[in-house]
Amino acid sequence: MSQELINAITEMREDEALEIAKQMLDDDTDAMAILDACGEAMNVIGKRFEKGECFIPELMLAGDMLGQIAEVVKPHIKQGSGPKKLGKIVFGTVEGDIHDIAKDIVVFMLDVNGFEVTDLGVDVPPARFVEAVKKTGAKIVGLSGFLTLTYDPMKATVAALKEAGLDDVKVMIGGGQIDEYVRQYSGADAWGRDAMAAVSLAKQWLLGPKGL
Amino acid sequence: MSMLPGNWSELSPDEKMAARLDLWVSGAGVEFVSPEAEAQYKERATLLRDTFELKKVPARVPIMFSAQLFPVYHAGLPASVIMYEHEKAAEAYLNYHLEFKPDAACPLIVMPGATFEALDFKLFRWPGYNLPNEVMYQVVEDEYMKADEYPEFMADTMGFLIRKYLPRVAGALEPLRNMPPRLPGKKKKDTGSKSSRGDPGKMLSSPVVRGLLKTLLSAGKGAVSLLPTFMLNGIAQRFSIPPDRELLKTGLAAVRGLVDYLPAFTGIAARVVAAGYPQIVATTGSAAPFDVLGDYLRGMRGILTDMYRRPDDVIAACEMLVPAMIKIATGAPGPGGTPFVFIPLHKGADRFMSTAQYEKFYWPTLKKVMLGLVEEGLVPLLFAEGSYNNRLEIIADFPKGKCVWRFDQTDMRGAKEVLGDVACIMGNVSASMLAIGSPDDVKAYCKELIDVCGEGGGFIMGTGAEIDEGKAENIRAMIDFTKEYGGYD
Repeated sequence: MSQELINAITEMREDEALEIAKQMLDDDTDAMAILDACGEAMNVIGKRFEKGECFIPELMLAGDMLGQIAEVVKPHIKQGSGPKKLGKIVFGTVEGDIHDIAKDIVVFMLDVNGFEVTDLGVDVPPARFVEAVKKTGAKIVGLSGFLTLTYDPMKATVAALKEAGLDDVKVMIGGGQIDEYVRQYSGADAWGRDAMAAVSLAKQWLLGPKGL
Repeated sequence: MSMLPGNWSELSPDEKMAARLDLWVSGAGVEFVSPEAEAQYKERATLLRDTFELKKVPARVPIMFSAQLFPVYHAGLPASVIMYEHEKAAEAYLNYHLEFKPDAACPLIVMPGATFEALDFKLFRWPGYNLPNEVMYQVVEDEYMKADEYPEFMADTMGFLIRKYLPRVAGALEPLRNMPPRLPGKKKKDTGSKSSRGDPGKMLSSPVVRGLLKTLLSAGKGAVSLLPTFMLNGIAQRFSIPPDRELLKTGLAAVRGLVDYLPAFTGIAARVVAAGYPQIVATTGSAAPFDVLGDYLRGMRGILTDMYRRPDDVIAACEMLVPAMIKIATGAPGPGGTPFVFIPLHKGADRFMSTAQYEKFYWPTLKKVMLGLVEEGLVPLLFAEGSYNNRLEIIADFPKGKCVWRFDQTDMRGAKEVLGDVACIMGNVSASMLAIGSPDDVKAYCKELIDVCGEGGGFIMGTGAEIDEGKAENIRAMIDFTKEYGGYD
């Protein structure tokens, strides 16, 4: 039935996906196996998104489906058998900017791909990023910004991390008016165009040969 | 009094468009500040018209610079002036035109901050109130219409907007939830909104009228507290509103804000035009029906998932909105009034939906709106925010020389190839380059645009986004270089 669930999710059959998940629980399927199937479905969707075969609506709908299934499944997860997290990331939209929709999608895709994400929300001043990194021990920070007013706050956040002695933390930036100009200007380590770019970057940084 | 030809209703759409353009280029009725300003106006308007119509090559590539907060920042002012000190913002905008000399007037983005405060307006956050003074206002998208409210919205749009939408976007309008439904046969009391006595904006520009209104409104707000209940009920009945003291006070405070705001709003366009800058984009325009649903009612998450969960509702609601989106833009122009209708496009960008979804949900009703405007002789000026690389072939299915497409992140070479024979294109110097690049960067990019897109005419130099942060020297470079290099001889 796992394959049926994967198909339902990747084909955006929302009601069916939830039904199948519930049926699997009734059949005493291990809760983790159900969540694994969800993860596989997201892999398929993520790859399609990268290739331009599916788009934001599909990511959003998939997010909703996963949320609904997780709600039903989580009470059945045995303690301590949660999926191993790849690493910690602190994420937020920088100071002065309240845009959140795309940030939420990136956070969701990172989470689904195995990262433990602390989402600081919107209009986040540099000091709060620093505080969150210190608190969580995250080695990656993601900054989103959708207006040109965010260039200076991004620069300030990168500087604040360095000033706090957090030199080994890597910073990625993204958003509507973000490009290589802005990456250079802000001192960030990389910039990405979308959620899948963020996932690739995070995996490279944490798992690649030069992994942290 | 309309400035359009007397036999308007007998004219064909082509004749109407020609008449509107003739009127616009002539500057009839505009009180130009000098003969030079009038000559420059006509030269600029002719340039823009020739570029748009695709009938001949213009004298040179025109430049329309879309400044948003730049003129305010350039004048050393905080962003909050656009919300609260409208005269200062208006001055800054006028001075920007006089200093940088673009080929078209830029619309002044001002909003009535005091009115928004009185209404407890939730749709925006803005500088000087709930955002820092230096930053641009931002839209707070949300599901102001719930997923199951499509039938209600379509069956009784006015009722939905008054009883549900307004209270959701404006906290102080909560009492409207109790607004009684109209009784059949009861005539709506006209509160003078279609007054034949003239333009309310003009009236409010008069210092005498404004002074009087301010006094009355200050007194009125206090006086509402003193009104005995029976009088309040009487007023409420006469104007068909709930007899709510707080609501009346809110209304008065909101109007008070408008008294300061309206003159700047209506006056600045006239002042910039009089200084010799033709108006292309006015502050009112139109929208894709899908965006009306997505921007203001369902929010992004709502509308994009609605395509899966209730596709028939989306299509039906879009269809229902078509006549309104045409009507909103059709009216007789005032002196220097633009024949172009600005239509910013949001939710149909490349990443936001597939081609199939665009063709099913987004394009049909947008195209109907565009055609409806063209019927009236108006020129849709579409601004495709984000990228439209996957949309070019679809949008090329339109009558030649009847609209303008402004692009943001779309590949301009591709746009010229696919769309160049159908529509005038505009764009796309990036906000990031203008904010943190150099004049040489800007010139190099403009050169490439002119070489590729300017070929044969039909190209207006422009920006990919509305410009807030921008270095003055970059903007100067963009405008001056286009004028130097963009000649067609």
